[in-house]
Amino acid sequence: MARKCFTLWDCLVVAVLLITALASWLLMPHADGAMVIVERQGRVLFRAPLHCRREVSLDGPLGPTVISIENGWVRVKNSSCPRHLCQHHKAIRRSGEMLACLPNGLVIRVAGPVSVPEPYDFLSH
Amino acid sequence: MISSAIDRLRARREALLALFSALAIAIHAFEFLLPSPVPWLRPGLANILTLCALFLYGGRAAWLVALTRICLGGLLLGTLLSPTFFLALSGGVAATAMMTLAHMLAGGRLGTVGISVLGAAGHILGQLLMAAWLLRHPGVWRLFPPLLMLAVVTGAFNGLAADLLLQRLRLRLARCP
Amino acid sequence: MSPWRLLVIGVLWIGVAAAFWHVVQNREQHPLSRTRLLLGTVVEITIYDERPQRFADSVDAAFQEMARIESLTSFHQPQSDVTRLSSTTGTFAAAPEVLEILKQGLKISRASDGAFDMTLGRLKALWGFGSPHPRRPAPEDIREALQGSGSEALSIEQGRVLKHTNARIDLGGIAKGYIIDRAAALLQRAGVRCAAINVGGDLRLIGRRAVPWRIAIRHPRHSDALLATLVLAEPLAVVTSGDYERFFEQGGVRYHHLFDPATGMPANRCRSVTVVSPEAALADALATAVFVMGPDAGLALLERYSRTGGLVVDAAGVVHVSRGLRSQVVWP
Repeated sequence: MARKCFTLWDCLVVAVLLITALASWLLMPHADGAMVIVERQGRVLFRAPLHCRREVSLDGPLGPTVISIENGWVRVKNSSCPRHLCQHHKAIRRSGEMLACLPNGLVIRVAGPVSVPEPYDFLSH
Repeated sequence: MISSAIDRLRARREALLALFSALAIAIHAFEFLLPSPVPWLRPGLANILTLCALFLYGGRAAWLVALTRICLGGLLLGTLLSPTFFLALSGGVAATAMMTLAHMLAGGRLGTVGISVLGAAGHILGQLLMAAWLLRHPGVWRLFPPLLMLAVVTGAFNGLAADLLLQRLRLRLARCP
Repeated sequence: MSPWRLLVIGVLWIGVAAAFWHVVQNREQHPLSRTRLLLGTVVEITIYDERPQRFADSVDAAFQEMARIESLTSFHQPQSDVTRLSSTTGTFAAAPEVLEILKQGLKISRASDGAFDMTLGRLKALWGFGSPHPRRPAPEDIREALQGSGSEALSIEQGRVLKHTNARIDLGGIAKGYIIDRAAALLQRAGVRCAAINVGGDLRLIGRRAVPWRIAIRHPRHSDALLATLVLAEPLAVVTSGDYERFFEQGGVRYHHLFDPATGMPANRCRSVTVVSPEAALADALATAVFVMGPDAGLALLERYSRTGGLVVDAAGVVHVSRGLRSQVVWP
């Protein structure tokens, strides 16, 4: 009996599946990387990818708040709020993490790509 | 005389299928214990035994080996009726359906590699369908293209392994009828 | 290959492709998540639904309801019920919401032998948490601030609050939970079947999901590590009180914002307490009470409430879990 492990038909099947994989990859809308989203009162003021280095100054009722995005980390670099609590908070990078500047009404959060979910739904602290 | 020969063949078939199932469960458990970067990413070596059953004894035997492996494996690993189990079940059912159907439709034209690759593709399709339903999060479909790529690779490997195993088995079985 | 087989294979592939396309096209079913700054923290409401957008107005209404009750219970606002109640002695006609909070709070106060206390307003002001410069007060100042506090300072008769002493009211340990419960009730009345309300890490879950809820608990000493994960099938409230939330250090000693009413000093039996209960108000108040009482007496208190359990990290860092909750805890 001839070897039947890799016939022409097998080649065809493998080729079709590889093409399917490639085509679905190309057809699928590409996943965004993790995003930094800044909101005030539920309204999005600003969004930017986490991997691009940048510095943003957003005006609030008390003056500007400077947010710095660097090497995949987000932090508040400078804020015109009275106690600078937000400035002293450690930088964030994981999906779902938040920085907030309460006096200036800003919520800064990281929204991750959906393919790398965190192992939990909510964090109790 | 003839009836005893048939009996012997039947007994051999049953013994072989039981052996396949037992081996498949062992491999299944071993793979479960292996660390993996993505929980669903397994080489699916247990499928080699399902393939052997399919090529030696047909679709029914393949279903027997696959379902035994999933259910007893789930019982053994303590994952029975947990999400892990349902993922394995949907993947296994889809894979076996794909393989038996392809084997039936293509007759002798498709070899172990083709069938195995189709089975692997069916496996990820079944798992992703179940995962999308369980998690209610369509994000899992983003995994489809890379997983299908990997499925083709692991499927081809399993197909080659099954072919080697089948050659040996057929030699043995032919030698002592 | 016969044409029939080709046809069957073709139909199968078209079917698979169509199913795949359908799923890809429908991937916009993300849960709806909205955040607001309320209660001095970030409030996030997440709706899980096929079409979550239809509940956007209900979410806004829930935020408004939370802000409304916050304004009644805040001790910062001079015209709030709590501020006015603090400065009166005798009977006071409080808003029904405030009355309800006081009623629940008094029950827990009595059940916990005063470990949960809503009359510590002066003590908290003395320590100055929430001000830029909190400091350790002198012992005689602490003694003075504790004068007139305790659960006997308040009672409720015929729908009116009776305050017997000059204690200042602080609903910090229960109002947040009550407000979460009210928002949850509003969402449920609006027809929301599955949602979560997250108020700065205190949670209330609404409805069941196909997969259980996974609630991670923060490690009290390593802010980016997880202590454990709770796997909850039932919709419950999860509230954590920890000494890491608000604290200052003076002379190498950590002073935090959860006070023992018996001493007027920060309670020192626990590092963090997580309470799981059907209602957020109960979980909130019990978390504070258990933090003060310590792991043994605290977990014994939790046993007295139905479907309620807790996870306590004591002062030495040892974790205690109540019996009912053990099967639902996953360690990392």
